[in-house]
Order: sequence, then structure tokens, then C-alpha cells
Amino acid sequence: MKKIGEGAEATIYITKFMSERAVLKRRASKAYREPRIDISLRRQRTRNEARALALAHDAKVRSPALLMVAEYEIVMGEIDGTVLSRYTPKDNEVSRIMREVGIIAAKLHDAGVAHGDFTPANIMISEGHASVIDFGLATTSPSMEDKAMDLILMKRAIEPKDYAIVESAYRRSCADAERTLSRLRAIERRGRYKTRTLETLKA
Amino acid sequence: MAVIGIESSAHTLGVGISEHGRIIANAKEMYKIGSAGMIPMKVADFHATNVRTVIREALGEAGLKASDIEAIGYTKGPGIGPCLRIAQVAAKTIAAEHRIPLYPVNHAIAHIEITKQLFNSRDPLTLYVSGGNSQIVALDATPYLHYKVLGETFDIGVGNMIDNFAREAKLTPAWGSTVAKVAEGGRYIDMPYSVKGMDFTFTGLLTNASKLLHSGSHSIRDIAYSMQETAFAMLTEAMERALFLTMKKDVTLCGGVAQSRRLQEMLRTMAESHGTRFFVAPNEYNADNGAMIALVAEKMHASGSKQNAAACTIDQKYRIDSVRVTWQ
Repeated sequence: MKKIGEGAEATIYITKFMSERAVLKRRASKAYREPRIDISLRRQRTRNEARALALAHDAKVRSPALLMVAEYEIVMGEIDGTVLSRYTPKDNEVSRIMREVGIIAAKLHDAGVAHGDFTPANIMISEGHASVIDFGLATTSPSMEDKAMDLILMKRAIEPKDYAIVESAYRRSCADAERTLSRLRAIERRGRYKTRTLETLKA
Repeated sequence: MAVIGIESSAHTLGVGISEHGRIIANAKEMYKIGSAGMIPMKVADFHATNVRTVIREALGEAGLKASDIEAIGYTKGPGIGPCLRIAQVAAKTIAAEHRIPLYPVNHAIAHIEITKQLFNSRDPLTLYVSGGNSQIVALDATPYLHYKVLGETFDIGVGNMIDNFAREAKLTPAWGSTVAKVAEGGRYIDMPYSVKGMDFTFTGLLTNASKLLHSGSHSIRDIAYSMQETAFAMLTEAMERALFLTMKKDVTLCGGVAQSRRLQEMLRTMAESHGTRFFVAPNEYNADNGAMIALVAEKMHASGSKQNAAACTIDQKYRIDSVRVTWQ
């Protein structure tokens, strides 16, 4: 098994599943925290991630296929490509990719999944198309707030003009878009959160 | 070059003096918090009554006269309005009287800068935790140098949560070290764990802990232990994510809650497991103090930060990411 990535929470390996290349994600134990928190978080998140992956796949969201689940491990299909945060789209692809990002969020939310870490680092561009990866912080019984947070995380990470495309695609494709978007505005109005952008610096 | 700094954003009135980045005085008086918590006007009265004495004390400690001071800083915010006002007015008065430059200092930045200074850590990833605030910050150069907030609490500060719990449990004094003591040897009970990316919330945890407390189903010890372990695990996990994102070489912890031994231990374990250095200042500088205000005022002064009388206001919600860093 070859290690291909290490995140704050888990380590990713390339493995073989039914003689096909696959990705194995293993949640590492953390020595800093109370052992019962450690075990319960890792178990819960593994189970949760598997459920979210399955729901996403059923909803035809471009995402890794769930192959196998163990206590702290998930084996899933490999999506080969470059993550959006490290990808420089060609001029003629930008708006299509952003639209796909919006549609991914819409389909996920309609399927009852909020991603939980919906940032460009978790959008994989494979053969020019966007897929969503890493459901490690996903929730399968999302509140309006959870859904709105998905969009806020993306909004915070990309250019405003790109986000505008994401949001308009989301609005067109998601059944409950208006409620999510109005929650998003409400979150942004909360005092503590408002000045998080650099607007105050530019002033 | 000696620069004096006055801090009065919450219950502590502090006056410190910094000379070439060295702290040569750090005097303070603390308002004693009763079971009612902080009553802003009463705390402000306390500061107003003591500010002259503490300034004199700091000058005595440094062996300086008022005329030796080259510049003055005060805490502009964030903090409690009536309290902030006292340091601002005192600093303005002294600046006018001695015709020296006046610098408004961001309280959170002061905590970060004094830790950087003490350990010669130039560019750390910082967890700033106090009563009112809990933020993960690091220097960022775009559009120009400032402390970027990578993650923060969406509701209350972690210190606020702990103090509130202490009051609910009728512990005195109602603050972190008392709760930590009560929590010793506790057993873990399931608590709501709320981290989103690098942000977190604490009210759910507080509500749950208070509910358990009043139900009488568990001991105060077990509840305090579980709440504290959960809150600190949340903060440490968010920091770990930020560390992977920023790839910084140093991790620092500062602010009032940074005095918690358990939180220090957790962050150190996390940081060192990634080959990162970990620094936390002595308690004297994690409690509110004037020395850190003096230090930042000195840095602003030395870097030729522009004098702007209109900016010398107070701002209860003075955001760390609204300050342009001119001294790095």
C-alpha cells in the first residue's frame, strides 16, 4: 500500500480492491485528546463518511464510489486529477467548472447531504470536469445552516465572480435553494462573522 | 527608547513599559469579580481610580520618569466599552501633556506579538483564546500584511463558556483554573462536539453541560472534565487542520485561556507530532497586561506607523484582521 497523502485527520493510501486501483482512507488516532473522544470521533466520522459517499453516489453526484467500510477505514474508487485549489483552469473552462461546483452542491443538498468542508481543495478536476471528494466532515441530516455553510466555505475561498456562477447554478438546480441562500445571508449578517473578509482592510 | 502601554479592556488595569523589545515594567491591578460577573461601569470606576497609581508603579519599576517616555500605546479594542475608555483617556492625556506620539493597539495582536518576541518566533500559527474570543490566526501578505483569521468561534469565546459553567456550578472564583481543578480525575461523558473546518461553536457544549449539572445525573467533576476535554479537543483539532493548511513551522498559544495546562499540553502534543515547535508565554503575559500593549506600540513607533488622531478611538469589536501590520 502506497501512502499518497496525509491530512490533519486521516492518511490516504493507494491500494487494490478487486484487482482495481482504489483509495484507502484511514483515520489516525490522536494522542492529544481523551481516548473516548478519539475513538468515538473516528468511528462516527468513518460511518458518516461512508453513508454520505453512498448517498452522493445514488444522487449521481460525481464523487468517489464507496467500496468497503471498516471501523476506522474506508476503501473508495479513485478519481485521478488535480484539486481545484491547485488547478489553473483554461479561460473557456472556468464558468463550466464553477457551474458544475454549484450543481454538485445542489444535488448533494437535495440528497440530504451537506459536505462540511466544501472548499476548492476538495473539488477534484478530472478530465476537465469537477468531482467532489473527501466527505470526512459531511453530515447526512443537514440543517439549513449546514447547507449554507457549504456555500459560505466555497465563497470564502474563490473569486467573487466565480462564486456568482456557483451560486446561480445552485439556485437553478437545488429544490430548496432559496431557503439555503437566505440562511447564508443571515449567517453573513452575524456581527462576529461579517468582517472576516478583507473588506475592512481594503477600506 | 522607552514606550509605555496601558491596558484596560476587561477586569485588568495594566501598565507596562517596553524598551528595545524588552519588557522593563509590567504593573497591574485586577478588579475582583464577584458572583455577578463583570459589571462594566463598576470595573471602569475601578480602573479610573487606579490608573494613576499603576502608571506610577510601572515607572518606578522601570526606574524612569514620565519625561523619559518616548511614545505611548493603549488598547483600542476589542473589549468592554466603558473599560476601554479609561486607558484611552489616560493615554491621550499623557500624550498631549508630554507631546509624545500615541498609538491605538489591538488587544489580540498584543498577545500574539509578545509571545513572538519572547520566543523569537517570527511567523507562527496562533491560537488566541480568551473570554470573549477564540481565533486561529496567522500572518498573511494579501492584499497587505495582516493577521488573517483562519478559524474562529461562531458564538462565544471558550473562556466565556468555562466561566459561565463555573457560575452555573457555583464555583468560586468563577474561572478556568477553578474548573480545571474540579475536573481533575473526572470520567468522560459524551458531549456535543462542534467543529466545522477550522471554525467552532461552544454554546451547545455549555447548554449540555449546564443541563447535566441541573439534572444531578452526573458529578460536577465528570461534567467539568468532559466539557473541558471536548472544548480543548475541538480547538486542537481545528489548529491541526490550520497547521496542515498553512505549513507554519511554529505554533503559539496565547490569551487568558492559554494559561490552561491541559490546553497547553494538548497543543504541544499535536504540534510536536508534526515536527513543529510550540510556544506559550508565562501566565503573566497571557493574563491581560500592559507590557504587551507597550511592546506593540513600540513596534508601531519604530516602524514609522503614521500618527492619526482620528484613529485613536475605542472599538469594542476591533477586529484583528482589520489591522495593517507595519512592523514585521
